[in-house]
Amino acid sequence: MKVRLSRRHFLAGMAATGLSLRVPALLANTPSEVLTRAIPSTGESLPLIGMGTWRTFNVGGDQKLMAQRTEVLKTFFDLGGTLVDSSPMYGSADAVMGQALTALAARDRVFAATKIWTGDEGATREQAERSRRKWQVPHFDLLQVHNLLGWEGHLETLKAMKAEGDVRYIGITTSHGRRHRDFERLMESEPLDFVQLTYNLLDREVEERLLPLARERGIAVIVNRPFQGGSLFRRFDSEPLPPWAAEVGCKNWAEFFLKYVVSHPSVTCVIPATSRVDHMRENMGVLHGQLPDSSQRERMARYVRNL
Amino acid sequence: MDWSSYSLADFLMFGPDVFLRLYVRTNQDIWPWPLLAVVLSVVLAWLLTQRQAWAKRAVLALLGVAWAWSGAVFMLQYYGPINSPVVYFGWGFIAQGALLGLIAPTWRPMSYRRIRGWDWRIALVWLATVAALPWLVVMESGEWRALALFAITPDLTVLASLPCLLMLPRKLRGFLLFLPALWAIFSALTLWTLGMTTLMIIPLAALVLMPFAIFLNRR
Repeated sequence: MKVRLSRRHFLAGMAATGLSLRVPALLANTPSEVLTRAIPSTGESLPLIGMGTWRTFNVGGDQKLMAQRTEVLKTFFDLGGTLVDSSPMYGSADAVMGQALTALAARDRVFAATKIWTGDEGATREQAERSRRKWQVPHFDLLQVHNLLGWEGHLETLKAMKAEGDVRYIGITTSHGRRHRDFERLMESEPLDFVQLTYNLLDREVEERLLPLARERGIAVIVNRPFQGGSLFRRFDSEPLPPWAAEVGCKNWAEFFLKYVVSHPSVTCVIPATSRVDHMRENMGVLHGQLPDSSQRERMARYVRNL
Repeated sequence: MDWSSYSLADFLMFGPDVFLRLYVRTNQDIWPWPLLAVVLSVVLAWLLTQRQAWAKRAVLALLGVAWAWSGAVFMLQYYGPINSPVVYFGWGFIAQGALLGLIAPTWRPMSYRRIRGWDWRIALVWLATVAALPWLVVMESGEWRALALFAITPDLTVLASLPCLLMLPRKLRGFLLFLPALWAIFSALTLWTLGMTTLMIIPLAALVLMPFAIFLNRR
C-alpha cells in the first residue's frame, strides 16, 4: 500500500508527536499527579498540601468575602488539594466552609478535618455534631482535640466514635510549641491516627522528639503555621531567594518555606491558610516537582538562619 | 493551661479586611437609616444647647437609642458572628440603652445654669466628634461607605456619650461609664492586634476622657 504524505500532513504529524512528548509534563499538572504521602494507620494517601482556615474563613455573613473564600477553596480543589482543617474556635469558619462546599458541590472531594474545642469533656459528641451540621458533611474524616483542651474526656469519646464509625481518624493538636511534653506522652500512650503541630523553618523544636516519635509510632503529622503566622514573609520577603533555589524546586518564598516542611519524612500534610487565590496557587505549586533531600534541607535552614 | 504562652493575636480569629467590611456592610444593609443617624446626631447637638429639662431628657433618650441601635445591629448582627465576646458587649449595649431610656423620663437632669457657657462648648465638641471621626475608618479602608457613624458603631457611640453623661449625678455616671470603659479597652486591644493603630484614636480618646467624665462635674 502506497501512502501519500502531503506537507500539511507531515507538519501535523510532527506537531502531534511533539505534543505527545509533552504529555507527561501536562499530566504532572493535573490533580492525579500531585505529591502525596500515606496516612500510616491505613495507607490512604493525602496530598502534601492541605488548607487551614484560621483567620481566613471567619467572614461572618459577608457574601462578598464568602464568594472570595469559595474561589480560594475551588482553586485548592482544582489543583489537587483535599484536606481542609478548621475548628469551632475559628468563629464562623465552620459555617463558611459548609456554604463553600455546598456552592462547589465538593463534599465528596474534601477530607474534612475539624477539632473539638471545649473545656466541657462531656460535650464531645455534641460539638462534633454541631460542626458537622455547619460543614454539611455526612461525617468528619478527622476529629482532633484542639490544643489538648479537655483531652482526657474528649479522647475517650473520640475513640468510641471511631469504633462506632462516626469518624474515620482521630488526633490531637498543639501550636506555637505549647505542651510538647504532654503531647509526647499522649503520642506514646494513645492510639492516635494524627497529630497536628507547629513546624517551620524557624520553629524546629519538633525535629528533636515529636517528628521522630510520630514516625516510630506510625502517626500521621499535620503541620500548622508553616509561615509562622505570616511572619516568615514579613521577615524574608524583601530578601532574595538563594541562587540555588531552583535546585530544590523553589520558585518563590512560599515554596521555599513549604518544601522545607513537607520534605521531612515524618510530615504527612501541611495546612497553610490564605484568603487569596494567587497565594493558594503558590502554595499548591509545592505539590509538583522535586522535594529537597536532607542535605538540601540543612542548606535551606542555614540560609534562612544567616539572613 | 499555660496562658503565658499565648499572645493577643492567638485570640483574634479574623483579619483587617473582614473587620473593615463590617462598616461597609452595615451601612449598605441598613441604608437609608444611616441618614437618620446623622439627623439624630445633629438633633442631639442642638438639644445639648437647650437648657430646659425636657431637652436634657431627650438627650438621654436619644443616647439610649444610639446605644441600643449600635448594640443590636452592628455588634450583634455583624461583629458578633466573627468575634464572640462582642455578642456579650452587644447585649450590654442594648441593656445600657434601655437603662438610659428608663432614666430619661424619670430623672431630673441637673441644671447647667451654674456652669454658664458650657452648653455650646459641649455641643461643639459633640458636632466635631461625630462629624470628623467617622472618616478615620474611611481613610483606613479606602471606601467612603465605611463611615463609622455615631449611633451605629460602638466606638464613636461610646466616645460621643461622655460629654452627654455629664448631666447625670456622679454615682450614676460612674455606673454608666463601666461598660464604655470595658468596651474601649477591648476595642483598643483588638485594633492594636489588627495593626490598625489609626483607628485606636477613638477608643483611646474615650479612655483618656473617661476620668474627666467622672470628675469634671463633682455633683
